[in-house]
Amino acid sequence: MRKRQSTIGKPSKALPSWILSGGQSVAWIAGLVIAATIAPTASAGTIGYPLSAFTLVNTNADGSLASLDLIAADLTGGNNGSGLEGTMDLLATATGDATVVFHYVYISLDEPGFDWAGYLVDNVFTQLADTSGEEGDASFPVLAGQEFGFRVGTADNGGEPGIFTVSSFDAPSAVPEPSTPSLLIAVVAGIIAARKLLVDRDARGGKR
Amino acid sequence: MRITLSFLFALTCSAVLNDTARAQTFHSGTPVTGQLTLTGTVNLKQTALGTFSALRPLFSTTLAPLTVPSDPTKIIPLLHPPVSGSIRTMPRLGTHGDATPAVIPRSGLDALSLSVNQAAVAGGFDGLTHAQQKNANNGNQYNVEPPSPSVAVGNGYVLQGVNNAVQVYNTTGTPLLARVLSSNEVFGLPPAIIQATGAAGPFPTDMRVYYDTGIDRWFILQRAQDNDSGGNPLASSHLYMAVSQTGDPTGTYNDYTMDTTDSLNFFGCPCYPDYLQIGSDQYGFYIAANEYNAFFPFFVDATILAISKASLAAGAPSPTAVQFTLQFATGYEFAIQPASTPPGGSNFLASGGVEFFVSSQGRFSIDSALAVWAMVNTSTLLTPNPSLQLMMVNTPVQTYSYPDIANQKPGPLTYGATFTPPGQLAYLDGSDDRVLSVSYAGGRLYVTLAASVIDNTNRQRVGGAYYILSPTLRAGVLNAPVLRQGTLLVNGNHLLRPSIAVNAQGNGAIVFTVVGSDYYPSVAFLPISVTSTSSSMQIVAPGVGPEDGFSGYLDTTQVGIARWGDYASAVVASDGSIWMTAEYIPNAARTLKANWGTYVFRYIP
Repeated sequence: MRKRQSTIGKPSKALPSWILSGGQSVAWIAGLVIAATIAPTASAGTIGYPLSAFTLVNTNADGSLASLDLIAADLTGGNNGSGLEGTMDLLATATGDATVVFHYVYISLDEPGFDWAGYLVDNVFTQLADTSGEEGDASFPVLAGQEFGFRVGTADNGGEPGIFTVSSFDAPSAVPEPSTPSLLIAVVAGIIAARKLLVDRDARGGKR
Repeated sequence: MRITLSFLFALTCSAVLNDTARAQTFHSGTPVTGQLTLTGTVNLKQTALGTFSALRPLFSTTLAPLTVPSDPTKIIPLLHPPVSGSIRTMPRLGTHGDATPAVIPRSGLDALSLSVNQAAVAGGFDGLTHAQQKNANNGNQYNVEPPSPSVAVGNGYVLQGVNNAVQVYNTTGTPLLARVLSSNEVFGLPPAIIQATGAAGPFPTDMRVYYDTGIDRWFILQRAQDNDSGGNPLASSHLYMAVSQTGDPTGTYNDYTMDTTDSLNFFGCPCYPDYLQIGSDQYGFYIAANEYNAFFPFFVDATILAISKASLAAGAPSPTAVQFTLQFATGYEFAIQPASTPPGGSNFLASGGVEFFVSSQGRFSIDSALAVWAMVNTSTLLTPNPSLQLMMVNTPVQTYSYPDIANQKPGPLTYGATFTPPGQLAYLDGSDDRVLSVSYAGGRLYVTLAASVIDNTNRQRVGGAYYILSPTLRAGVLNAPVLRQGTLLVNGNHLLRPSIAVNAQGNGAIVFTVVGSDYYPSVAFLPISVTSTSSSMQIVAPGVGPEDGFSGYLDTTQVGIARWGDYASAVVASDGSIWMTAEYIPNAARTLKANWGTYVFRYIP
């Protein structure tokens, strides 16, 4: 598939002849739109979750997030000095059935047990670490519509926070999504359908 | 491999911060009943317009022969702790300045010098000057050195206090009181001295001002050793505290007075409190002081007065209060600096509410530990019978030692030239290594103190040290390991009276005076955060000449040591910006006897 979107609507010898006319260009765009609708954000087999899909929720905490995306993110737990328990959650709503997989590293200057980190699915917390230096790979299933994410908790908001680094984040879908070949087929089908509409209209004497 | 900021931060710190739990000491307080009392009210705006008068009688009716003075002066004594043994590990005189050969001192911190950067402040203005202080109250004031500048910010107002005057400004520096008020006027007291007759009134000193966002009240605090009408000291003393009735610092204040003559629980008095310090938590307002004997200036003990903020906000005639009297047992019972929490920050609410304090070693001139204090159960200040307890633990830190004195860049000495022989360019007093400021933000204690440092010429300079501690109070065990620490040094020069404030996000600044071969006394600061400290200072108010005040000319046959400070001040506004003030030599009107000024400015971290 050629990637020449910059020339859309302009005559180009590099493009197939069937898209040279204006109507044909419309058909080509329609195909792209159909394809884009089928696979909105993800690479093949993955439900994508940009950082904007997540919401940071502090409950008696001053936790923070340092990351540009969820390929690797530092989640710093609360340390607001109140002496009281608190949590910092980073939450998203699952857009499809999937298995969330990620790698994590947990560090803290605090004593073990006074801060902890793990993941949440519909507010059910699974702890992965509470001692500095712990790391590993983890995965959990989510269903479409479930709220899921990560939590860094603190027993007393003091003694320095827990820092939970999530990397290699992925969310492979439980139900296979359209693969690249199927997307191509969808594009071609869309184009053919649109072109057919135009041809039929011309055959009936319609004017554009 | 991706190294994140968090990892870098962690790597700069030591391993898990759990290695400093030490034996704790515990102290109990004594209820203060009937000693802290409401004595009247004063409206600042009306007083400045001359339409309000609520003078209280002198506490002493002793009459002494009056002599009409000639522009009298008062040097506020800088009372040091009772250092024993090898008092100061090096001579106070002889290793300072550039005229002496480089020496290898026995103490002092090696550090990187601060460079100079373009000042990036969000506004500033000249604060109170000596001339304004002296001319307040129709000139019925002493000439006073040093100014002890203090600043408070809130509701669009800036309240500045010095020894012995106050003014309220808007945030662009426009004075809001028709004239500078003397603190005697603020406290409803007779003038410090009536120039026409020589009659002396109370002479309050050690100015501290404070704004508390929690109760939306302003505080003005001083203390005084009483004197007779001839100005002769008496064996009694008082604490003066004005608390605003509203969030408007130009409005009416409730004036409280406390007899501080006899320290509770201990002998060694009659006493007077010195070096007042203010802090607050969710429930209490805390005043720490050093007590000295009124007859002989020996250190007796340290006190902490915990007062119910709710009582003060309500204008209670006799606010709920508890006093802790701390004997000089470990050496850390001196200048116990209370912490303040910035607007938007969390106070420590567990353990019934906690107020933290920090002090340094007062018995020896060099030490490698700080004392961290926690006053627990402060929420009981809301009850008629508070049940507070004070605990202390030592935290190992980088070594600090007494600073020496600071040399000045030569310049015109207007007042010095009036003497025969002419007064010589004075040194500035570097004070001692007491804790100068404590801020509690984001679960950390940010601390500054003055310290001796060694510059690149191997000479001893007056510098500073800062410490970021990470306190915990778990199952009754107080622990406060160091998260980060460092030294403040300007090669070839001196850095005086560093004071820190940090906002709820962990970003702040350290303000100080820089002086030496390259600088007349100037106001400067450097940004600091929980993870980093700027390597450059920003000079916001360059001095225009040397300190030329009377305290440096006590004996003009030798080089004097002028008083400076005794402190600078930094606070956090509700928008997270840092407001600071410090002493410098301005291009402003002066009196014959002194030329100090102050600068007030805002920095947005």
